[in-house]
Parts: sequence; structure tokens; C-alpha cells
Amino acid sequence: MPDRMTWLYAFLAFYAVYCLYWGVTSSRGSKTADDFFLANRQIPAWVFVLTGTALSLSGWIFMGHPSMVFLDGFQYAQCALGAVVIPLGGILFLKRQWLLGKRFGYVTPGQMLAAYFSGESIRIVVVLIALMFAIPFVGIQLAASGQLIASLTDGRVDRHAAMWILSFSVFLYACIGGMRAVTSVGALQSMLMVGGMVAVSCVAYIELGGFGALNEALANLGTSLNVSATNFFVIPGVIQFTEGLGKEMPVGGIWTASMILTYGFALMGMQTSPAFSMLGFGCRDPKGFAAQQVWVLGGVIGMVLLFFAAIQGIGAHFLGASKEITEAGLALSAVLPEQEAGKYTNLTVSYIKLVAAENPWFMALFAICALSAIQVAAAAFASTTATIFSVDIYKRFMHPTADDRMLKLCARITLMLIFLIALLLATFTPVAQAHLGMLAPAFAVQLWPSLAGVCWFPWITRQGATLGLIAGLVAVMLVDPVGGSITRFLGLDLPWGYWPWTIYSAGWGILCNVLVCAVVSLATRGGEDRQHRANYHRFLQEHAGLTAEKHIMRPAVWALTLAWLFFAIGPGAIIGNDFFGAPNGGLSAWKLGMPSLWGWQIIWWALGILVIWWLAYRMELSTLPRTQVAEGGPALSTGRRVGRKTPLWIKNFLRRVS
Amino acid sequence: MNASHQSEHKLAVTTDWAFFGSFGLCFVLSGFNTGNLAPGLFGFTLVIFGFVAHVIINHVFDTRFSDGQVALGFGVYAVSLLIFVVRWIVVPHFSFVNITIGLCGFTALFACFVFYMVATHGVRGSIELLDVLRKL
Repeated sequence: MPDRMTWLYAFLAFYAVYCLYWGVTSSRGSKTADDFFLANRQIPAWVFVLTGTALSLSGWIFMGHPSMVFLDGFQYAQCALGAVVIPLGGILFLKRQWLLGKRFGYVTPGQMLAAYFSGESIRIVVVLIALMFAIPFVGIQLAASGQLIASLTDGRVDRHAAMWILSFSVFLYACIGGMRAVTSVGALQSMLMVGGMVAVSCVAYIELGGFGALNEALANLGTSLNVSATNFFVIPGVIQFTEGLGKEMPVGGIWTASMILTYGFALMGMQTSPAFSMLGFGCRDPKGFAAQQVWVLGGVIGMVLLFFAAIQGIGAHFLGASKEITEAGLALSAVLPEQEAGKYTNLTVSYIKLVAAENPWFMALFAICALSAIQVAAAAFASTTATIFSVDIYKRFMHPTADDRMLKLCARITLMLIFLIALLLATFTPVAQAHLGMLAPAFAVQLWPSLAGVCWFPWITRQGATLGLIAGLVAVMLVDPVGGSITRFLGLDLPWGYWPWTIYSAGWGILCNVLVCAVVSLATRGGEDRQHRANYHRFLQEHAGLTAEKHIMRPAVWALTLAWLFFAIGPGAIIGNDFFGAPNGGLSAWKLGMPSLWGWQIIWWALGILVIWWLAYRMELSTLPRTQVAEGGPALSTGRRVGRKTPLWIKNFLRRVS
Repeated sequence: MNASHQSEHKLAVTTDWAFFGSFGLCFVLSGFNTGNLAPGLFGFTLVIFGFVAHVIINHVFDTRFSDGQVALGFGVYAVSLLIFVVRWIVVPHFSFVNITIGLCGFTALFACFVFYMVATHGVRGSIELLDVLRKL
């Protein structure tokens, strides 16, 4: 039998050929810029369901989530309910964005926001968000792919060499085929991601000797060890008023209820990111939206995270990865290498290597599954950001008469630059890039008030949305590691660390954003702009407004959603610490035969699916519009030029640059 | 089918086989390598899932297996069967479990194909199709 390296290379070659094949095939169908940017708005529902799922999760879910569960125990595992939280963003905004995109031919969210708010500043901010999201985020994903191959080959392949080569293959198919290639390849990548996660977790399950054995080992851990072991089973309070990480560590772990809730906000940012909006614009119809949000993301991914990834992360403690537990004689076997205490480690790679000796083909397949999870997000974010730059900057400000050929060329050059910068950052400044990458979802969620304005609330004004967005971005920066580094570089030491009061940066950002947006909107309400915005809302009401019957249900639905947020990922989650038995009570005290918090998570996950099902299907927030949408009709007549006037500061800047 | 539908159908089929085929192949190899019945049979089950999914995809897109797909399917099946038989003959300690995996798996795949033919073309139609092949 060939050795594991041969299998790995063979699978990598097949995978690369598959990607390239779809890159070339897609390019044949991409005649116009619309083809290249949005797959001619013909992405089928099933492709959206698969690609949208992978894009909402990225490689983090495959590689990072189990490791974090290993590190922080069940308090972090609560974040698995993100599978229900992430689609909330999509449920609220995606269908309405799609309707506007279809009607007015928007290619990017920047175009939509600029037209709706009749201002160009918000377009520039969206481009900045897209760039700030894409470059570090893509870099992190690509660096992870290099690390994966280097680890699996025991360093025989250099990390950087692997990263550059693998990135080139991603760049190639995204560059050749555009959005169509990214989504076509993404369909398989998504299936491999889920299949790989389940399969790798089955390795853990088999090694542990089953679900019963794991729970017995957990009960022994709860009863045998000291207080630090019980922290493993509980959420350490609703909030802790600490100065922030780097200055003061919270007691019992960082994952307080407030941290979980605000981290959940950041996760919602994945479906409100500019890239996801563009994926929505590219869909043939919204047929796949509800299915993706409720059944695939909420149902399938929720189950994978709550059962499979949890078994992978928690189970590692009893398979030799945790020195303390092995020395206490509580481990079931010692097949995994010991992981460094308190340090983030890549647990998934250790599991993959477990199967390498007897089944090298599985090692190769799992490597491809992990690569798929990593590359699908990298390709999609890089490709959509290149489009955003071409449409919102190049065509809008630099070359308004650019034809399709020029626009495609510009997108391809931008794509190359994004990959290049991301790779250079990953090669030479990996720590800075990791910090920047952590900002990405927190940044994306700052688009919520602006999108809420477009989709729901006509009283949100241009000034409110723009200033709120800027305030949110600044707040995120100041409470994240990046902000601390920047201010230290400037000789200013902030009086707080990062994530003070155990509130994640996305939480601080959205708080400032909403406050500023509301106050400024109230101060600048009324006038001609309001009339202009009202036209959009009339259109949305006509095609996606609630019927009288649904209107009655509205308070009940929102009450249910808020109650779910409160008990599942909010302050009420701490009830789950001992609701089904004390953490250190042992199996006899555990009413569900598993740790109380785990049981709590599973119950609220099931209820969460019910909540999003109600929102997506019953309230028709993600179903097909009731009436046919006229495609690309004339712009709404409001008596003013919509988003065409270049602001003076941009005009002056461009004049100086050129 | 127009070009866009054709391309979508092709994407669905390649996605289906790339997923079920790769996992199926790995499980079958594990079954043979470790002499373990469960993974081996599970691998063949995944391949059958792939076939069933292909039939469903064809139904959704209102089409049938193309000539190339039929040729590829028969080719892969024949080569795999040949490898299995050769290994059975040549490898001295080819275990009973391995023989069981192979016989059950290949028979189940063949049965699926026959079932599909009968369900699609009827008994008489299927035999007539074979008759056409014989005349060729």
C-alpha cells in the first residue's frame, strides 16, 4: 500500500483538478461582468444552501471550535448555539436585500446603501469594512491551510510553501470563474466540511468507547477533581466587571453569559457581511434561504456542533490530551498527544493523524475536508471583496464608463492583490494578522443598523447610519487586541484591556453604533430624504410585507425570540449550570445522564430551531415573495439624483491623487 | 435542457459523486485493509447512496444517464470487480471477511442497477435494451 504522503498528494491533486475544472467551466459561461460578479444572478437554491452554510462558518468551525471546546469546556460549547444565532441575521435581512437587488440591479451592498441613503460616504465605509474583513480573514484561512499540511506531514512540507501553493489553487479558480466558480466548488466544499467534521468526531467517539463512557468519565471528572474542574461544566456568571483581558482575568473563565451573547452578535455578522449580501444578490430566487437558515444551519450544523464537535473537544481530555486528567487516572486511553496546558492547540489535526497509520486514505480525505472548510470562505470573501472594489471604487469614482471587460480585469487584479497582501501578512506578521482577523465578524455586524434602515426602519437617516457605523467600528477597535496595540504604538496606554466587563468587541461596537445611529437619526429626521427612503419601503411592503393575520403574531414572535436569546445565549443561560443536576454531583445526580449545561444547550438548540422556523417560514421572512418582482426596472422616482453626486472631499482627493 | 440547466445538472452530479464516491472509497478500502466488515459494507452503502442521489438528480432535471456516464459507471465497476477478483485469487490470505465485503458490495451495486432498469424501463424494456446491446 502506498504511504500516507502518496495518498495525501493524490487527494490534493484530485481536489485541485476538481476546483480548476469548475473554474474553467464557469468562465465559459461568464460573458458579462454580471456573470462574473454574481453568476448572472442565477445561483440555484441548492447551491446557495450549501455554499451559504460553509460561508457562514468558515474553517474556524472545523479546526478552531473543537479546540476551543477542549480549552474552555462546556462554557465555550454554549457558543454552538451560534448555529441558531447566525441565521437570525440572514432571516432579518437577506430576503429584503435580494428583493432590492433584483429590482434595482444592485451588485454590491455598498451600491444599495449609497442609493438608499443617497450618500457616498456609507459606500466608502462599506468598502473599508469589506477590505478589513477580507484581507486578514482570508489570510488566517490560508495560513491555517499551510499549517494543516505542515502538521500532517510532520514538517516535511514547509508551512509557508504549502500555504502559498494551496492559495494559488484557490486564487486560480476564483480568478478564472468568478462567483459562479466559487459557489460551484463551494457546494462540494460545504458537504466535505460537514462530512469531515462528523467523520473526525466519529474517530473520537470510537476511541472513547461511546457516549455512555464519555459521560461516565465526565461524571468522574466532576466528582474527583477540584474547583477548577467544575469551572469546566459551568458558565462563570452573567457578567464580570473586569478591566479586560491582558489586565485582569475573569474568575472561572472568560465565557460569561454576556461574553457568549456578544460573541453571538459577532457570529451574526457572518450573514450580514458584504460577501454574504452579494451571495444573496446572486441567487436566482430566495427559495433556498429558509431551508439554509432553518434546516441546514440551525438543524444540521447545530447538531454537528452540539454533539460531534463537543465530543471531539471534551473527549480529548480523556484520550490523553490533558496532562492533569491523565495523571489523575481519569483518562480512558492515551492515544492523543498531550496538549500544552492553557494554550490554544490544533486538536483536529491530532485526531486526523490518529487514523494515518492504519487508514492513510482517511487522513488524506480528512485533510481535504479541512481544506475545503478553509478555502470556501477564503475564495468567497476574496472574490466578493474584489467585486466590491471594482464596482464601488473603480467604476464609481475612477472610471465610470468602464465596460465589462475592464471591470472583470479590475476585479481579477484586485483579487490577486488581496491574496498577495493576505499571504504576505500571514508569512511575515502572523500575530498581527490573527488579531486583525478576529475583528472581521465584529466589524461585519456593525452593518446591522444600516441594513435595518434599508430593510425595516425608514426613520434611520443617512447621517445616523454613517456616523453609527463609524462609531461602532471605532468602539470595536478600542476594545479588541488591535486597538490596544495601536494605542500602545502611539504611546497611549488604554485604561482597559480587551473585551472589558467580559463583553466581546462586537457587543461594545453594536451598542455604540445603535446609540449614535438612533440619536443622530432623530436629530436629522424628516425632509426630502425621508420621502426617498419611504419609496423603498413601499416596494418592500408590497412584496414582502406582513399580512394582517401575521401582524397579530408579531409581538408573540418577538417575545419568543427575545426569550430564546435570554435563556439560550443570554443571562438566563446560567440557569443551565445546575438545572439538570449539580456539575460535581456525578452520574446519579445528572437527570439527563449528561452534564446539566450540555443538556440545557441541546434543549435550547431544539427550541431555537422552532424559533427560526417560525420567523423564516411562518412569518415569511425568508420565503418566496408573494408577488413577482420586476427585474431591473427604472429607479424609484423621487425627484432627486440617487447616489450619483460625488462628495467634494472624494472629488478633491481623487484630483490630488491623479 | 438549456445550457444553464445542463451545467447545473453536471454540477449536481459531480458534487454528488465527489462526496459519496470519496467517502465510499475510503470506507471500502478501510474494510479491506483492516478486515472489518462494518466499514467495508458502509463504504458500499455510501456508493449506493451516491447512485440513488444521481437518479434523484436526473429526475429533478428531467433527464437520464448520458452515454458517457453509463460508460464511466460500467468501466469503474468492471475495473473494481476485476481488482477484487484478482486479489482474491492472488493474495494468499485474503480473508473471509474481505470476500464477504466484496461479494455483498458488488452484488448490491448490481442489484441497484437492475432495480433502476426495471423501475425505469420495465422488465420487457430492460431486456430489450440488453438485446439492442447484443445486436451491437
